[in-house]
Amino acid sequence: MPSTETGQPYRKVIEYKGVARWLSPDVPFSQDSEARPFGPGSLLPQAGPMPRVGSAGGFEAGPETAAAKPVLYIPVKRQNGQETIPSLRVRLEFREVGRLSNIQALAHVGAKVSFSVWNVWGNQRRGPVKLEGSLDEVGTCSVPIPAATVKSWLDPRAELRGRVNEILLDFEFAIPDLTDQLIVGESITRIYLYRRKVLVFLPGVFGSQVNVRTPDGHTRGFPDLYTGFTLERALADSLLPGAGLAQQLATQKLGSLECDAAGRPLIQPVKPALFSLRGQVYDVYDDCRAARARYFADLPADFRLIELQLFAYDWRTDLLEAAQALATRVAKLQAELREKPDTDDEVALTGHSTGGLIMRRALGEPGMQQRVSHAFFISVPFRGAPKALGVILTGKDPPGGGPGNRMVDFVDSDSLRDAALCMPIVYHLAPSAAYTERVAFTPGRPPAAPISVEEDKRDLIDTAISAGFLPAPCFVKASGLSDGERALLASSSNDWHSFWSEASERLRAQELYDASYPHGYPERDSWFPGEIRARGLEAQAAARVRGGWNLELAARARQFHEQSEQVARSGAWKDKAYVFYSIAKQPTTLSVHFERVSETDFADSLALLKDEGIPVLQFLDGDVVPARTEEEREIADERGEHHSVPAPVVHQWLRVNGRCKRIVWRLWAESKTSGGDGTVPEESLRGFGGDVQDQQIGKIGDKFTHLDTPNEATVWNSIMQMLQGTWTKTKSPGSVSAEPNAAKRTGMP
Amino acid sequence: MSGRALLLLSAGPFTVLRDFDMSPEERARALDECRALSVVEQLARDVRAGERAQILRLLALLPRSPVLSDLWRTSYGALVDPVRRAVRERQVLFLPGWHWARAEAATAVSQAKPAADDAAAPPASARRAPPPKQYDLLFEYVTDTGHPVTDEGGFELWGPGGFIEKGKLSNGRVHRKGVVSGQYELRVRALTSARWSTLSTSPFEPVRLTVRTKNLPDGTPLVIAIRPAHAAPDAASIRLQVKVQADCAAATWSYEQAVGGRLREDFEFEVTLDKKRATSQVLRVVPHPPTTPRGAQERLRALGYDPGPAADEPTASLRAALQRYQEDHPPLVPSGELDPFTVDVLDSQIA
Repeated sequence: MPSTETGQPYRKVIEYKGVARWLSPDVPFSQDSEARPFGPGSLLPQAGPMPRVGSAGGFEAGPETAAAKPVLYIPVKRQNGQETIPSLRVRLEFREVGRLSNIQALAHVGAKVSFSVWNVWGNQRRGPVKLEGSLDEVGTCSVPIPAATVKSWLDPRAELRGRVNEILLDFEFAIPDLTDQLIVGESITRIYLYRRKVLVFLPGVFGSQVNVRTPDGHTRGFPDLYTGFTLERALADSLLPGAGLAQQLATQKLGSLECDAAGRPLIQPVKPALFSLRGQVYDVYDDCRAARARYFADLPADFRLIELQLFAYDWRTDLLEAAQALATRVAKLQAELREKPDTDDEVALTGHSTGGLIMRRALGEPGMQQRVSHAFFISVPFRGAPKALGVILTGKDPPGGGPGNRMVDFVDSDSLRDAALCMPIVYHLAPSAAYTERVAFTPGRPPAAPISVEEDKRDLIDTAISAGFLPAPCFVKASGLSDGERALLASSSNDWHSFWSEASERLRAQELYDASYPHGYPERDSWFPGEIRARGLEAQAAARVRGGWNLELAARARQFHEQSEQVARSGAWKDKAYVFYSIAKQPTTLSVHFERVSETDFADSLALLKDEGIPVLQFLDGDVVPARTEEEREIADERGEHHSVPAPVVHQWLRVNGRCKRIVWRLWAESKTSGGDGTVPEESLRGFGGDVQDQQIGKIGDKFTHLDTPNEATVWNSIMQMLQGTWTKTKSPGSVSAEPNAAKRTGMP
Repeated sequence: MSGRALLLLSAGPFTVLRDFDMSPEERARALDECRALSVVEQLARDVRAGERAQILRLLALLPRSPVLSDLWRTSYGALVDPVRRAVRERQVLFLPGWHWARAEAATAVSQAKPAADDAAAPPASARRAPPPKQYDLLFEYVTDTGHPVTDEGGFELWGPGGFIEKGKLSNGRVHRKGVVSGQYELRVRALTSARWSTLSTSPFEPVRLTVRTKNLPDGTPLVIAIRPAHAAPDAASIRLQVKVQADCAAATWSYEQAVGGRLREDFEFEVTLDKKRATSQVLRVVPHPPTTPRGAQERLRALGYDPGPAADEPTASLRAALQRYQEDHPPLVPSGELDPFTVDVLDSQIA
């Protein structure tokens, strides 16, 4: 046959090239700018510029670096407890170079294509799952993967060992029969199946800033960690310890946050949603983010897999209000999340300390079971804490300690004491009826008395007031005052409490003066109305009534705890609730003792004064007060070792049957090293009230205190595991070696 | 040299002849020195084995061919320099396109030519002219998997003397028997590329779509379908009609983000002509930075707020939309201004 010089016919060889990739026919990929490529290198080894070539055809090479291989972030949605899984598709185009299809190679039609799907999450290759298809007349092979199949891929026990958020799909393929050599290649894209989770964090008391608008039109926040913060002040603080911001914080008084006799704030907060503190008390944003970055180490760090929201609340008031507000917020949040394409409509709640108390009660509200997937309790005083009694009595920890023993670093301790008995929160944090140990001892409630936490609390406070240890509270009347009048009262509340502390001290000597001046002592008696006038406190005096242990608030707190325990007892949260707590090496207050040290009778007031060492002339001046001293008491700990604890002593002067009597009282707190987390006893930390999965943070003797735990990496690491369903109780996180975040010790439960 | 033409290489986009003797018309079709070299240089630069192998075959047939054994280790200069020298010395001639070589015919002509120059030969009129020799013409089209191809789109076979024949390629072969000597060209209709003018754009920014064709008559209508790149191929698409003009068709399109429309998307387009198709690369739509008025508009639109027509400066519509958004997202201050807090919240809301 005549032909070319070489004897061959003209022969045009058409080069074929393949492009293989994932398709997501139903659900578009995430629009998040942080949805960046990630994952390990190519599936197939890179042997040269055309590594995926068999005898024919070149497949579009994967990128030189894995980071450049595009990843489609496809959301998996869960609504109403049902997973909405997207269907997927693998597609191979085996066409002329340039993605062209001008001619048909009939021999290609029907050629078998086998796909091997791998889960390459975590730089591993899990799988494969085999899929099969064949080339059609335009050189494509598209294999649909129904949602049910994708769902099976999300089963950790199946071949791909994947789960939502931990599955990065890639595939390779082979066309075995087209030539005498195997044609192989891999996808140029990957699929990441993810679901976002909203985590609502409830801080403890003082973890939220309560904002109130004062009558002068200014808005003030408590605690005042940000308001008025300036660079100059921060600089002064760093240069002169004790000055600047630290000094400002040390003098914060809580008067304007006072509540009335019914526990209702004199000034309602500016907004129902209060601003929360960030960084000053808690670092949960950073801790949560760090844990997310650790657990999902491969994923771009800024891709928001966990969305942390803070639930701030007015911590002064009845926690039932906060619990109901939380339930409302979660319901609203669920409605919002259902509008989002990629977020689980069930949220995870995380509460630290008082935040956890609110959470437990809120879980009993209707619909919460369908709205909350996880409830994480961190260092929660489920049964209250005896330490709260110290707040009421002295505002110090331990009760009666020196100036450095403020219960809350940034709150004036007298101010805390003066506002305590009108604030519902104090009744909620005091030990609840579920507490199984005695929490307070007085002469009226001696060690032999039967266990009754309610009686202990009431008797302790009433005894302390009657002994003159604690100023008798003067509550603002619950009714009959306009909002304006209440706001004015709040604004001058600190002045009132300053006056009333002074007046209470003078009143401690009243019985002795009454004995000496049966018809009154005009100069002394006029001090009270004179001071009220001089200090402009007439409205305060008129609006207040004497009170004590507030039975109404105590009853409401008791009901709150009973309802909360019922929620726990129901078992409905058995699989969703997780309790974290720590046992710290430092002492935890277990009970408070207000004991009568001595009781001495005197024939008359002169004899008592002589014994007290008070000159008669000074008494006649009208302004002596019974002694109040700071002492220490030796107590033995559980190992029999003796320690000194602060023990403030107060003298009480009485007139009984024409004679005078002096009673010496002493207050001290019994504590136990490793008896709790330094604030809350172990019994209360573990007293969720129902079946729950608990774990200890660190080991007994570790340094993780009540305040450290929300900033503890172990907690957040475990939370990530629990959210992902990879946590097992045997996997103890107790091997933590990190030091607690001591720098953040500025809050309280 | 005259009177003979030897086929050196006829594959791919050009034909190389040596010992040529061509008419001025044929010579006019040849590539000039500069273009010929650019073809060779392009092939030498291409790292693909097939292209380099062509150069190697070409070199093997040059009069002063270097001995090259290892294709991959041969430097660029070693491949190109001998060809460059041959071109400059006019030892080879490059013709464009796919041609049936006429080596046999050329040889026949060259055999006849010395007789014409012979002074002792009888007059031409006194001799009987031999009948023109006939040849077989065979084109083979195969895939690199070794399989023949078909093309129902049809072809035109151009031959000497204005010869044109239409047909369809089936089973990869076009076989004609008894053709006269000459140069034949098989003109296949093809879509040769589909390209975006850029690989990244933003909403409302026009992008040019260009389709290159070969041997399609001017005015041939083409259908372009633009669709999200990762959706199913049968997903809803935007369809455009274009017409071929000088082997090219083009259109302009922009992603007109609707209220509630996606902020980021990957698009590709496919052009079809009967059963022929060409698919573009992926065009990525990315938003403007969130601090710019356009960026804010794009995010507001994605979140269901209508900020009015796209603009580089803040407009009343943008301010109104911003204010509505800020009112819906406390504690943002409903100022209508694009303050840093609003930017932050806006950007973080896009999922």
